[in-house]
Amino acid sequence: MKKLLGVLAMGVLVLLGGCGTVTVKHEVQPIYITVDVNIKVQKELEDFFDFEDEEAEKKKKENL
Amino acid sequence: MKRRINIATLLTYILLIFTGASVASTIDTWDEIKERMKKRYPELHKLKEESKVGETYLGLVEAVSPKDTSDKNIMNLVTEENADRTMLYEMIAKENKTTPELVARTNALRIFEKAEPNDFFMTKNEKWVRKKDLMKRDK
Repeated sequence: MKKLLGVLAMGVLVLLGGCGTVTVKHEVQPIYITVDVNIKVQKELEDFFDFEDEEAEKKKKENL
Repeated sequence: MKRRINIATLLTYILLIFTGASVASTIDTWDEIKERMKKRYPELHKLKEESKVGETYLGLVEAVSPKDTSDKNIMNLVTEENADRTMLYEMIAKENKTTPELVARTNALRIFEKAEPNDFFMTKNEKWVRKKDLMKRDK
């Protein structure tokens, strides 16, 4: 009887452990999404303002 | 009755097409905004070098001294530049499913990194500080 209770308790612990991993997944996902969006925004801004670098290069050449 | 509904639906579609077309013609495209900003950039850069215009932490430009706020040419340029930037931030935010504020702040940071040491920046307590002095503060 004691052995059976022990096995049951172990089973419950294993099941609870399995549930714990689900919550970790929910915490990690938004961080990746935020970083991804920031990188995309930075890239789009860099692409849009590429004329600033062209203008700076022009000025450098003029000053030489 | 069925025919009436069909005519009504058709009229609604025609109306929607015309409304959509007029709205589309008033909304500026990415290329149009870029072209305007590109044309404006040399003048804006010059005003920044002369310390007449500075960048705010909200990704917009403003006249640095009260004397410059009364200069029509400077104020026109500032207004036009800010209108284009606001449209651009909204476009990028929509594309990336984020807020225009985040895009604006990202651009403010990008501008700060590329700025010259003497360029002016408005801090969160609304004071104008040169980049080199802001860098000293951080050290």
